[in-house]
Amino acid sequence: MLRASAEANDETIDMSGIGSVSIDSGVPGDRVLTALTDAAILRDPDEMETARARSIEELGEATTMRALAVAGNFEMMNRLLDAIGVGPPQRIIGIGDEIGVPLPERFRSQFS
Amino acid sequence: MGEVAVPAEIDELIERQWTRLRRGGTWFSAGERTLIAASARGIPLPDIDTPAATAAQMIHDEPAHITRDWLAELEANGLTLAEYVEVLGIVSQLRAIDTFEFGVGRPTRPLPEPTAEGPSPAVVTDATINGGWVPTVGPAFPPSVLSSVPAENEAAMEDIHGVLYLAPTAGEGYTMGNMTVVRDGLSRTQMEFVAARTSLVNECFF
Repeated sequence: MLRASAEANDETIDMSGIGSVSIDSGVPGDRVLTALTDAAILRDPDEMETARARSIEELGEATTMRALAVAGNFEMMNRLLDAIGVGPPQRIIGIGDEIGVPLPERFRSQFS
Repeated sequence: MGEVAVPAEIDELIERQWTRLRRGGTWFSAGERTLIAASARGIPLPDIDTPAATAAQMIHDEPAHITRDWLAELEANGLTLAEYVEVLGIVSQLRAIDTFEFGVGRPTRPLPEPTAEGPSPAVVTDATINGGWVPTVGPAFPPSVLSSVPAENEAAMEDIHGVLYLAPTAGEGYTMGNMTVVRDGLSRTQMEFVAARTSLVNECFF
């Protein structure tokens, strides 16, 4: 969906920036969004305060709130899929290599 | 910096979720549902060593490590797949709300006091094993994961999903079909970046 949305918006993105903060993904605000998301998912109270402040400074309060809402939704969605054993469809099996994080063997083996 | 301002529609969603949690479900009573939520949060409780509590903790803390063998062990210990789906619904929805509220700077919301309601069992006869480990109506896919327990599916996919992210439909406005949507200043591309990063941290590769 990230690639599709970037194409729809005429944006050029580097998918490997999802997996590495040292790479500019081309998504506006990617560094503060990464810090914000990580702090929320990992429940780090110290990092959360800092990440939230930096996100608000760069993106604004409402946008920061919405990013956290999206993260919350995908906390739900990730669990729904993992808990019943649904892995990535074959057409995106290479996504792990693209974002710099190899897919676990349990997903690769279903297509071999 | 204090709490980030939250729009009324999200606070109203959270109220609906707390109402759902405190009431009887499909397979669990109101009391059992709140105990499942407490187990998910890691709240130590006496006499809570049930398969449902075990499932709740694993789904909450280590979803990427769930295996078919682990689920089979829960079934052997008496948890039905339908009950497991309800546990999954409760815990995944709780995690969505808790993560959001932690992120905006709110303290952890106390779980509600349950009503005295029992379960209202309802079997979905056209749910079958179709690509996942639990019965689904149609192939196992994000919108159908909870379809064997309609109340959970409605809460997750028709309420939470649309209020926190986008409605799982086509069309204009705040929908997944709208690739150029901007919501509260967050572009679709930024939304998908957050979604991808969340999934990466959770080791979910869908």
